[in-house]
Amino acid sequence: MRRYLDRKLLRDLRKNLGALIAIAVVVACGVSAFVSMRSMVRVLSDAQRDYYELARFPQVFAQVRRAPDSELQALRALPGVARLEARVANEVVLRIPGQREPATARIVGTRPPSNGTLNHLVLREGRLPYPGEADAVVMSEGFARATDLGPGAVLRAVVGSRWHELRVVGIAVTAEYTYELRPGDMLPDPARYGILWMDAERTAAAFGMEHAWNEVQLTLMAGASERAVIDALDRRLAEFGSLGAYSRDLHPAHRFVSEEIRQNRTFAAVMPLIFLGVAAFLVHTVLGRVVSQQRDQIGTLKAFGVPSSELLRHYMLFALAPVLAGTLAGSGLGLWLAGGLARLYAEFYRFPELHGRLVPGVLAFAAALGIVSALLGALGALRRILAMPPAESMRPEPPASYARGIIDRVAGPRLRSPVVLMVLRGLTHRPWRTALGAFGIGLGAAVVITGTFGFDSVGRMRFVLFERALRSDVSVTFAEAQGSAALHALSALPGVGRVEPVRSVAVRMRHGHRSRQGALVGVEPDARLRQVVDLDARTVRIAPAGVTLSASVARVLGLGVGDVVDIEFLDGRRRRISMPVGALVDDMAGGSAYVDAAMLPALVGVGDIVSGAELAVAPEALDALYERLAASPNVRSVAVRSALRRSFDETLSQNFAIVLTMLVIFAGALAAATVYNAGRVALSERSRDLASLRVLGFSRGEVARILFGELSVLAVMGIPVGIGIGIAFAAAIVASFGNNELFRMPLVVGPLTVAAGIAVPVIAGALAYVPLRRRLDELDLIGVLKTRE
Amino acid sequence: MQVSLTITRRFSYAPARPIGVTSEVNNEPIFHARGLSKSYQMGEVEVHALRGVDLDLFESEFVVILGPSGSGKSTLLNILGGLDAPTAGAVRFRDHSLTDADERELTRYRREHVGFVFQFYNLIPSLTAYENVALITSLVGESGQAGRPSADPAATLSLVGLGERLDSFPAQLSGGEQQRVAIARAVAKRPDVLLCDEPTGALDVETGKLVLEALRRVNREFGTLTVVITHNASVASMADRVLRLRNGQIVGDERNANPVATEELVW
Repeated sequence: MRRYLDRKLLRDLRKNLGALIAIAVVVACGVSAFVSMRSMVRVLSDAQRDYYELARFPQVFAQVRRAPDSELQALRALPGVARLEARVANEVVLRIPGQREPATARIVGTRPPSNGTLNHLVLREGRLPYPGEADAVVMSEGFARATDLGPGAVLRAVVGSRWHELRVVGIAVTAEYTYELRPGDMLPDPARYGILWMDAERTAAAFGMEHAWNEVQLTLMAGASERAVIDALDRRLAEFGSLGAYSRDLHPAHRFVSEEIRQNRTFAAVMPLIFLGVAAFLVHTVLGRVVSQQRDQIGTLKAFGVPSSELLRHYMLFALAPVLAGTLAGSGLGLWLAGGLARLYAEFYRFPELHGRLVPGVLAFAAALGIVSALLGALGALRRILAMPPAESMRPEPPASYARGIIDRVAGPRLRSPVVLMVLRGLTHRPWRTALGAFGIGLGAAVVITGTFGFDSVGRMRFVLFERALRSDVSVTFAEAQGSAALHALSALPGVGRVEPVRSVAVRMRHGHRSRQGALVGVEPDARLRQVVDLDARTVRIAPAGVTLSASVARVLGLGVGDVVDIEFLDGRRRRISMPVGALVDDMAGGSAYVDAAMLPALVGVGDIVSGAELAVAPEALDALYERLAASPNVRSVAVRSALRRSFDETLSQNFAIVLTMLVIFAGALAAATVYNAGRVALSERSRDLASLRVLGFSRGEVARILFGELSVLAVMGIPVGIGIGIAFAAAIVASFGNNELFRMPLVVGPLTVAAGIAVPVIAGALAYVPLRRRLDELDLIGVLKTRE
Repeated sequence: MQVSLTITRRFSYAPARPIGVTSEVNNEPIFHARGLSKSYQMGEVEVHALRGVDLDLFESEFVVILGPSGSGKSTLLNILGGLDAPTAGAVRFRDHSLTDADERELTRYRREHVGFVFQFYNLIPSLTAYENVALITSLVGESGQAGRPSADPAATLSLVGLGERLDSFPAQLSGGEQQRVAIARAVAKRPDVLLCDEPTGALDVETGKLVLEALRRVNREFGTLTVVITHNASVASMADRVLRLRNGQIVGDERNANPVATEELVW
């Protein structure tokens, strides 16, 4: 018997191929999203863990201005410290062959690895510098790839006080710089910022730091208190101008990678829920339709004594077939996508190895999710099968019972046409199914908006960053804070028009037991080249009294307007002041506190402070200016606004193209599947009505309009809801990911995004309508005269 | 078409002519079919549903086509209704060839000239009795056909005895009532021909009689050519003309001089 039932199953599957493919496609989308993102969670977190272990990534970090080697012994003796290493690391302005704008490189002193040393370099090409070898450097991989340089290349930089020709001897990665970000930047600029490792002694000598260091890193003993070590370190290092010790949690590269993992984890949880929820709904309607159609067959089989368990198995397999097919296809697609994501991540995050790989647990879980969604979807139909009494179900189902309802009360005379009433009553007859169908189409819009609003938000960020906040051509950061005289020197450089000072002091802000490092910035009221701008691109007025605080810092510290924040200057003299919070500013990069520039010297307790400058430069003089800036030992870093903006655009277009394509395909599939399914159900339930109308003289087009009208109403109801859901998702994403301490993302959903949210489901629905129309044109007009079902 | 009392013409059976073809002195036939054959593949078997049928049907006639299942009566009705095309032969509706018409023309033909009554009523369950009728009258109204005002749906429903059930949905009506709504739907647009496929097939005797009475009444009041196919021989006695089909051929064409009233029918 089972053999014959299975044959029936195969034929039933073939007969419903379109609807089953729709289910499989939606399942495949959900499963591939789950598999790819969940795999990336595993790949990234495994890579992070393995790499940290392999490369002996430290646990606590601190920077000072200058501390003597003699201090190290005391530091190593601090309770809880397992291994501690110190080094010299400094930024320099670098001239790269073939690159117009100067780059900034961080030169880091390194020693050949020995037993237990921290921060191993993983060589990708070439070799490490020999001990004591002069001017031999190893480039960080991202830097080397972006500049297309490698062993043999020569870079020029003023290191310390004179030009050095730095020979590249190798390319390496390290756990410390999985993500290379110039301090103060929000996105990597790999062609213009990178790491150069040089022999430790030579580095110290070049920067005039013999027998001294400015960075210390350490690992902890098992069970040691990280907090206690950090506090002890802070106490010991205060006199050396410590910027404050911090743990891995605040290490920039670690934070970016960890944030990425967190995002993937969340998306891996949310995306499959959406798709598999829709899949369950589709299974529910398709199986429900088949069971209704086969009511008499089920009755007959029951009458002949086929046990209900066989029938349940039969129809359960019908529901499982598309879900399993979708799971299989989705797993394959997910692995492929994981490979793509891994390649994308490998562009940003430098790990020794980052490959998408098959994670068996993830695949098993995906399959389980698919099966659960099929079961949930099938539940209703299976219960109906159990409840069908054999004799009764052999009789045709009684005609659907309609009554006047809400439509009749609200419909005006224009809506009184029988065709319109047919459509509207058809929809209100099964309000839940109508609502879910509309919801499914709407989710297509929601997925498009959720996936693409990032363009708008990032577009706003780009505008705020490069058009409003930063308007200078070139930004210069000094190695040491200067007086106002430095500004005069800059204005004498070739092509320099306007010069505005940047007045920024490293501080630690405290409130109660919470603290954060950041900068206290003196804002000139008439500054034009750099302004404090909020997420909505409005220039922020600095509160006349008290300190104006970044909202992100205020949140971390639990501060509001009127509260008092303790500010400690991290410049060696450890001056501490307390100030009321005068205002909060929703700025993009966050982490800063602002006061009027005139107040700053009094607060810091020194005279004029100029930490850098913003320059307006005549374009034709840029090359000469770059050379001069690179040659000046006091300039630590040079950033060129046009290059930053270019790099920003490249990063985003590359990053978004993949994600966007994926999401548009997913959203389209979702909408097409729900439209097709809704149409298929409407068609099968109404094929008799529609065929009757055809016999009675309705043309193909007129009959199609009835079906089309029904689907259009679903779309008209669903899409606005979907847009709302999309915006809500977008807001949730912004709140969850775009609202961290690293950067803040404004919530912007532009008209084009909304248009895409409407267009994708409408186009997908129109495509799904094509096969429906074909079925409609092939309605059996003669059969309907005779048969009841 | 004018609403007028029927002037029924009755002629006796004339064996000299091909069966099914009757000469009309002053009247062109509404349907004029010659050599109609229809065969189709049922799996691997070729079925000959019609084998060379010649037939003329005239205005105001109440025609019953009798025949066992498989005799070809439904096929004939489908061809007359523009739902199916013969394999060979030709049918004319007045001066239009149905056999040469394309899908669009056939749809228009059904819309403007044909009223259908089905065995299982085929009402739209989401529309009330009134709306089911109005659906079709509004359709004809939209086609802009001049000089053929459709009847008011309410008046037509009164004609079939359902003046009180205008707002009932199909599920609230008995089978007989549903079929009478279907008749009202078919005739409200004043068709030239009313084609009924086993209209009483799903009904009990008493209800069936009510439905037949409604058909008869429409036929008498509007002079609509009414073709009823049935395998119920008792129905034949109420017809003006009875055609008998067997194996795809017309084997009898009789005129009833004195059709009995529907209430006298017995089966």
